[in-house]
Amino acid sequence: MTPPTIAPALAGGALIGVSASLLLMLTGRVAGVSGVVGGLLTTSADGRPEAERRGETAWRLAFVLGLLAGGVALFQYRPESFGSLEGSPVSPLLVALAGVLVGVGTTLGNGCTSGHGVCGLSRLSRRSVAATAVFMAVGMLVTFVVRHVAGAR
Amino acid sequence: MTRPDAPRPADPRVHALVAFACGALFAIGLGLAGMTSPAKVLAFLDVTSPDWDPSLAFVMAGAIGVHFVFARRAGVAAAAGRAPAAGGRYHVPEPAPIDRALLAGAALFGAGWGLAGYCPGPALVAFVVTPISVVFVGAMLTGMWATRVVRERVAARAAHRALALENERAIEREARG
Repeated sequence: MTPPTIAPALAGGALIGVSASLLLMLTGRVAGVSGVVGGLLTTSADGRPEAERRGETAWRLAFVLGLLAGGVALFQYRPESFGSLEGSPVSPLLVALAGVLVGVGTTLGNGCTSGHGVCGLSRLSRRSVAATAVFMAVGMLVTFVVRHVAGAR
Repeated sequence: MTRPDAPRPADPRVHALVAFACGALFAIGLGLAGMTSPAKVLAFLDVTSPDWDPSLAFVMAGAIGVHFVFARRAGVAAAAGRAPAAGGRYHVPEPAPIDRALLAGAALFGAGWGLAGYCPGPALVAFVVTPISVVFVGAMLTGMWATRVVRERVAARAAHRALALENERAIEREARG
């Protein structure tokens, strides 16, 4: 089990809030990670001018590269941020299944922990309140079943 | 002379630079908070355990505590027709009803989150660090892409059907008139 870390959690959360606020106030964009990434995967040409589409791709890609770069910095200076580096507590097959569920779910539901849980709740969006309640509840339920019913991990 | 906050086109280079810096800051926030450790996330979701770790609830509190103020300011600015500081416009979602897609999507996402302990942001932050996150991100991108393809196809088919119906009616009208 992991020991509680309230102060870093609050500080890290505040940094996330600052990042989302800067992005919104400077560029008008919502810092929802699944939405930012998903926008890079659109397959249809939606009739917008080429330059606009290129600018759209650029900021999305830049945000993702920033996430990756931040990850490298964390690994350099605070590797314990990633938990155990040896491996995940879960089997690779289960991780792949989880990845597909997260990909399909965040696309259907238009958001994830950041888009609904931080940005949406901050706007008091009713959709985001509903989505956050559902994904938290199901996340807890699945964790309960895996750990205490199936007895894994 | 134009007002500094009057609507004007976005400068894509400035937007990309801001987005990169915000992405990096976001990642450091996630790491400091503990969201990038699947073990920590699962210990938070495991609410019935005697060793329940409530820390990650404070991440949301910290983030919303800050963002609440600015989300409100952005909402006011957008309603007044003002542009964001680096140009462009506010892309804040319009209020919409809670529908089945939203609830089903959130449930699927929650199931994946509870299985692996990764949500999209932290998985990307861990992408170059832990091999298992590469598996997760690959599967996640596949899921996102496939859902988009299916959704676009369904929408295209519906549009096609509507057009065909419209044509049929036009032909009928012509035949009658």
